[in-house]
Amino acid sequence: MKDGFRQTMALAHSWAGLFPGWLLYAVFLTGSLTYYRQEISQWMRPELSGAAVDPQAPLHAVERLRQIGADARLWRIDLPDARNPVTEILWKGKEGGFRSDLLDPRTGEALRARQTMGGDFLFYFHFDLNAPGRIGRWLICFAAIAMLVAIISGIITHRRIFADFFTFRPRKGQRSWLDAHNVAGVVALPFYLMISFTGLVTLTSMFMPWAIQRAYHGDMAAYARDLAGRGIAPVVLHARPMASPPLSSETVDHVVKRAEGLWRGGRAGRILVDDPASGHATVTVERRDSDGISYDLPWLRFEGDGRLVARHDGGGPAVTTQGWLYGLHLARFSGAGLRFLFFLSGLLGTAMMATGLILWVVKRRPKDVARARPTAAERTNVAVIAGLPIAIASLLLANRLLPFGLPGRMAWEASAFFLAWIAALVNALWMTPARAWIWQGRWLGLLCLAAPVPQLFVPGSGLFAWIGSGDMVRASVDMALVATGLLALGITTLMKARRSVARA
Amino acid sequence: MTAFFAFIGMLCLCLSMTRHQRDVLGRLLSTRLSSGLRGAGWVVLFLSFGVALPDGVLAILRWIGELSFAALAVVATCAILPSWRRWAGRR
Amino acid sequence: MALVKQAAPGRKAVLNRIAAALGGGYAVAALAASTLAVMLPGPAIEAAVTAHLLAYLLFVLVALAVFVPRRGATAWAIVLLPCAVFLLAGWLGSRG
Repeated sequence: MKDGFRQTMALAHSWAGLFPGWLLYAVFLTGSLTYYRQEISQWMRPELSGAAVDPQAPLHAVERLRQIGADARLWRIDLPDARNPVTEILWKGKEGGFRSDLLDPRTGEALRARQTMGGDFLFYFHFDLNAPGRIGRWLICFAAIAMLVAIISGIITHRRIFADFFTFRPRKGQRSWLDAHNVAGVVALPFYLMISFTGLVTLTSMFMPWAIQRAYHGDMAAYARDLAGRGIAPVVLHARPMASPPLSSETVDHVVKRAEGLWRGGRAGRILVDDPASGHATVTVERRDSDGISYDLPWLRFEGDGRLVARHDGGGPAVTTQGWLYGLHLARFSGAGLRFLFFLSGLLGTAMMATGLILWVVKRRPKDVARARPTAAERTNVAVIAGLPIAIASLLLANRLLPFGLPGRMAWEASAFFLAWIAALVNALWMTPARAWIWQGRWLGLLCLAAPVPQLFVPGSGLFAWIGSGDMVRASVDMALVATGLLALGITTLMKARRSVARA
Repeated sequence: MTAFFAFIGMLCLCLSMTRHQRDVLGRLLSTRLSSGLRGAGWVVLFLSFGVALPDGVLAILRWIGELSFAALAVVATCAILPSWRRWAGRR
Repeated sequence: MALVKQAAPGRKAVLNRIAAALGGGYAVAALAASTLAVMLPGPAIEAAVTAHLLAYLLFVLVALAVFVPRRGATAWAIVLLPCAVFLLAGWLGSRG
């Protein structure tokens, strides 16, 4: 029985693994970069270099909101932190409709930065693929299930999983690709199991909403309220008073400090003010998501006069478990070291997919390589494995080259991403895969090396200025780009040399 | 610290296998030494877990990551070492 | 045990298993989520979240199990049986 299982599973994994492989390569690559999306966003807004966190940020934010959104129904303040040192404010007008702005945490002044999605573009792409409707998300969810099945069946059927654990035989052609795929696949197994399962959890409301639909009779909003602890009668600590004086920024500041005290040193992440103009304003302080693993964020609600009226410290066992699973996927809790380990694990997953895709093609290559016609799979491999990094590098370069005040700038950056990818696809269809790999490897290298250059011409900005002023976040992104560019050019040169030797 | 222990542990486990002994060291070790290495490897890995455990969940997550990349480092080392030995032997 | 080595499965057979794994598995998971959400005790939020987390585990389990039997038809039995169980449980629960 196990033999049949193994054979069928092996065929499913290898033969049917191609399409999910392309998909998951894209998900893993953009997902790995998403671990640093705040850093990438900072890099894509070079004008904001020098912005820093400030304990007075809530005070300044409320002052600003009182100026521009005095009659709003809802104020939202996302407080700055080390990885995102800007205050983001959002306010909901009387007729609905949201408006938002970015503020300097130290002064409350509006920050003028180029319009860009920043690292969030890669974040959305990694679970949405920018496909029409929800197609991207549905495909990714099914691919995640397929991946879990592949991993678990791989553990069961891999006869010598321990004996083969460290096996890597370089320069042996197909054997080496298989070894690389196996090593990449096994070494970070706990991460792959975690990331695919938790990824499914994050997309539950789309992929598996039936429990919610049934339990809440379709009322998704009620589910969301219950999940955040706002639906279940919160612990009401005081009866509501008649009317209090209009909300002042000092009150909000005081309330935030009280909240952080009640959390014994925990930090505030988001402030929500309901009906700020009325006499019945309430201030809800949510704990910062990086304070704990769980995404089930504790919050405290205060009246306009500063009295605590409600609190949420965590849900029941199921909600807490889901909070943990969700939080594990986003990894907002991770410090620099752990974040880097997550990032490397994601890159290893990307390598696992890429080696698998290349192995798929190498296995099916006919003996007479010189006369064989390149298959669609071979060409698509180039377009995906080399094309996506080219698209990402083009996005970053476009961020530098597009004019500051260009209308629809965000759409133009996205277009650069997709046009570059299409160009890579065309190149892969037009040239032989062997030459396309080399061309695209060189293009990737050049794009990565070019991306840090334009900012060098802006006074006080660019790699060297940032190192000088201590803006290590932006400097690191620049350095990563340079390293990637050199690596791409290096590998391409090696590939070219090996091919010339083979042909000689 | 735990990363270093993880690397040593993984290295012991790797070298306890005859396949890798042949490739990396150029000879086979005695069965007693191999078993000893395997035991030592597991002990060191458990020790590294023990060092991480008191620091809480975040440290354990970091430990899992360090295990993975220790294993990868061992694979890389074992892949490169034979070439180094050949290069050194030729000099 | 078979004395003759089994021939490698064909592509259609593999496609059939994949359909059972992904399509059939989804059906089992969806039914499980829906049924468990109202059958589990406690507040609605706890029942709903437990239900869909369990449904995901069931999805993966069924998707794996579908590859075990030798015959493709048996694979679909592995899908239909849990579906029937949940439908029955749901029907009994709504009557009781």
